[in-house]
Amino acid sequence: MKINKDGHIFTISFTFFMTVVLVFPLTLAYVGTKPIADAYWLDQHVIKTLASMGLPADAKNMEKAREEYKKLDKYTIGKLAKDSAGKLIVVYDTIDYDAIAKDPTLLHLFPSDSDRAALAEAKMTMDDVVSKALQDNSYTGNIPAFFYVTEADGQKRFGGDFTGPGLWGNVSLAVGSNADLSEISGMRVLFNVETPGLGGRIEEPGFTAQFDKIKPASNVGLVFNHPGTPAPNGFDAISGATITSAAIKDTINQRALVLLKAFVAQKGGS
Amino acid sequence: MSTPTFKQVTRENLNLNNPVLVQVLGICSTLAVTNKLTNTLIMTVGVSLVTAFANYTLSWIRHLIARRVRMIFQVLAITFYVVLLQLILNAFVPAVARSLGPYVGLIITNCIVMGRTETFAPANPPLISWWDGFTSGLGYMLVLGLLALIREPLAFGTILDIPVFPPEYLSSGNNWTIAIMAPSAFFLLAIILWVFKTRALKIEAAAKAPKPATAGGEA
Repeated sequence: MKINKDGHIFTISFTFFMTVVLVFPLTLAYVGTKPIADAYWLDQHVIKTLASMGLPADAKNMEKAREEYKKLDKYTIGKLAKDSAGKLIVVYDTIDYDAIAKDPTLLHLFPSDSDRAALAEAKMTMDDVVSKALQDNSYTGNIPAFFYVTEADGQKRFGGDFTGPGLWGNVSLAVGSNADLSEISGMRVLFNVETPGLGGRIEEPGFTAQFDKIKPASNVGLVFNHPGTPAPNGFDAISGATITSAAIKDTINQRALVLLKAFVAQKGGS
Repeated sequence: MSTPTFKQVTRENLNLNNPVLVQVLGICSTLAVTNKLTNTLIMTVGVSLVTAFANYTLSWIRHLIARRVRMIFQVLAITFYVVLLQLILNAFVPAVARSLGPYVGLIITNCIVMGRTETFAPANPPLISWWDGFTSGLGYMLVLGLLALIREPLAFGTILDIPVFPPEYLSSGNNWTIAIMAPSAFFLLAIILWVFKTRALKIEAAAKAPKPATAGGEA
């Protein structure tokens, strides 16, 4: 039988065949490289979380940074469940930010004492929980709210991962604060898919450095600086990236500060 | 049209028909990734390999592709190699992958790759197509490498991240900020184009002039 390469049937089946032939190796390559790519993503999380809390974090000395990160007390919002294979997993709750803003006691932290016992029984730590959540969301950046608390120089330090909507997708921030939320110790961008060269510049040190030791006002949180009159709670937006800059402001004000306030109310004090 | 030889293809792609200098293709990435030599090298090696293998693949199946759907296959093959490259970069040199940002993904739309797969691969056997793609990438690398070699010292005082200027160059803010930004590549590229074109015109004029008796071989 002579093949008519210009015919519909041949063209469609050959296109289909080639797509399968090419996509299959890509799937293998993706599965094969994901653990290696994830290792970097997890290390970045360690460095950025520590840096946002004002703790020493040196990417050249990962061993020490991981050690330091392990010492953080970690919490999230969710409950334990079993997956189809009977393995213990954490199901994350949808967070009602407005409700928590009105009533901080509505923040129910995980793990409770009974959760802790269940985790210990399954030989899991909160580090495993965090790293699984990060690996599951390495391509979407939909990182659940995690909270961190530790003590450094006799002072309690708080921090957390907070995700909000950016222009193109999720923007995930690591935000740290001192014991009474009067000062943000730092902010780092964990994940973003904003416009490269414009909104994408939120992850550059020149932008994130503005949040070191910034003092959010108790009523409005952070605001944009007006030209020529920098405010103690103000930061400079990125020109041409209005929506991304506003996303950072809103994620910090309406999510990070709300949750951190409720978290500090529960885990603060000495 | 007969199949060109490896030597002809090399000469064409590196020199007389250089994709950046003569065809003025791939300018977007030329401006964007030339402020650091490391990034430039990784990007251009990426483009070379993608063009080479996409050309190879398309040449290999060239008799099976209906003319009117050829672009679907071109994009399919190019995308395959670019995504593969992206996965490899993300896994093994994540810091470079981050600083290259979207440009690795944009190799898919790099005119050099599309140009070669559209013009060379459908008309030539696989091996020479591979070589054509690869040398096209090398021609691109030559020009971009030259730009980066000028821009990186001016911008950061380093070459391949090794300091070449005294530290005061950076610490006192004496570095050329414009060299970090894309416009500097515009100026530099224009100068390089000018020099190259002048030379090319001279060669052309010499070829047209009556040959002295001693001159042999091709001009």
